[in-house]
Amino acid sequence: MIDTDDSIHLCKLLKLENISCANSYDLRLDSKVSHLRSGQIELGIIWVLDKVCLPILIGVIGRIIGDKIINRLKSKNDELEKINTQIEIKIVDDNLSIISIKHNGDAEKLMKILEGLKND
Amino acid sequence: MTRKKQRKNQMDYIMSNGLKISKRWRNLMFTKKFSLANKLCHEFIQKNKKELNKYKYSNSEKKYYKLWRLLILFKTMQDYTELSQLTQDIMWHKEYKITEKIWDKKCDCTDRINTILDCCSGVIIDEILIFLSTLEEIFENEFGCGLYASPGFIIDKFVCSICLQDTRACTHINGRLYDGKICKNKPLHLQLDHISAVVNPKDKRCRIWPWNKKEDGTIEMCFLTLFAVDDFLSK
Repeated sequence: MIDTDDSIHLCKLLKLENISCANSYDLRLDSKVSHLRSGQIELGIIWVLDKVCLPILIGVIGRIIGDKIINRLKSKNDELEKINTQIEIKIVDDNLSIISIKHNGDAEKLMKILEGLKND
Repeated sequence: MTRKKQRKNQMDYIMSNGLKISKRWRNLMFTKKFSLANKLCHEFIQKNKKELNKYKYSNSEKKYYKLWRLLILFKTMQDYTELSQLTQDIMWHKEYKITEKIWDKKCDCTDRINTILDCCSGVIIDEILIFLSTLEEIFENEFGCGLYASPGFIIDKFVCSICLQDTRACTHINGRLYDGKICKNKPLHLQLDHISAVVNPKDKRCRIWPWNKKEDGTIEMCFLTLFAVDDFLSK
């Protein structure tokens, strides 16, 4: 198992929002970290055990994508390029069934999917 | 005169001298005396680099960053001078090595000007920005958007510069200020995992140029640079 630097950042932001969450370190798993030098965001697999935290999770993911876009805009004057995002969200339902959303592509599309999920 | 007052006068002198030199530099650029313009920037940087170190070790953070930005501006002007000289021949894009050199210099100049853009403005900045955007257009028309090498690394762990713990164990956020210190994540035992060809890289200096493809199918390319906007200050 490998953590990504983006997933570590996500976990920290969730903890700051008082969301109870655990990463590989908390689970005492001996895992290394992958670091990409590109515009891609790799958030890995996120297990959601309580749907109540979904709006905060979506807000935090939106912030990470937003920060990345701002950094890209700063370095390219005003040229907007698409940010690629890789994520898998597994939501454990009340009946203990798992709903899985996997996305590997445009960050803007991901945000639309997640916003839809929040409304459901 | 107290040391504090001396430093204030010294800073005022550097700033007014910088203004005078920038006017002389513009005149030289206007008359296309690039070597002299380059020398002017180089000498200003060398002369004031030592002064910057004095502010670094005294408690004058504001003055340090004021001078730091001024030196970055002069390095940007020097980059622009070199770019102007390199692009004098309108057929420069037919020469592979010159094209690569101009591309790298353009990336350096762009990164530096973006660093000071929030706090600096004026004719010089506007001129450089227009030049860089024209150059970008030429590259796009001649060579397209390009493909870039982007390395991926596997790291044992990142260590937080604030609490010295594994970054997964603390709540400090990379890039934020904590009691006047910027939180930085330092990698421990870094290993290269792969190199990808991407269209949206972090470092545009790692561009893959078609003419660097050898007969056996291998491509010679740069996949990692150690560029920093202020790297010239430590040389």
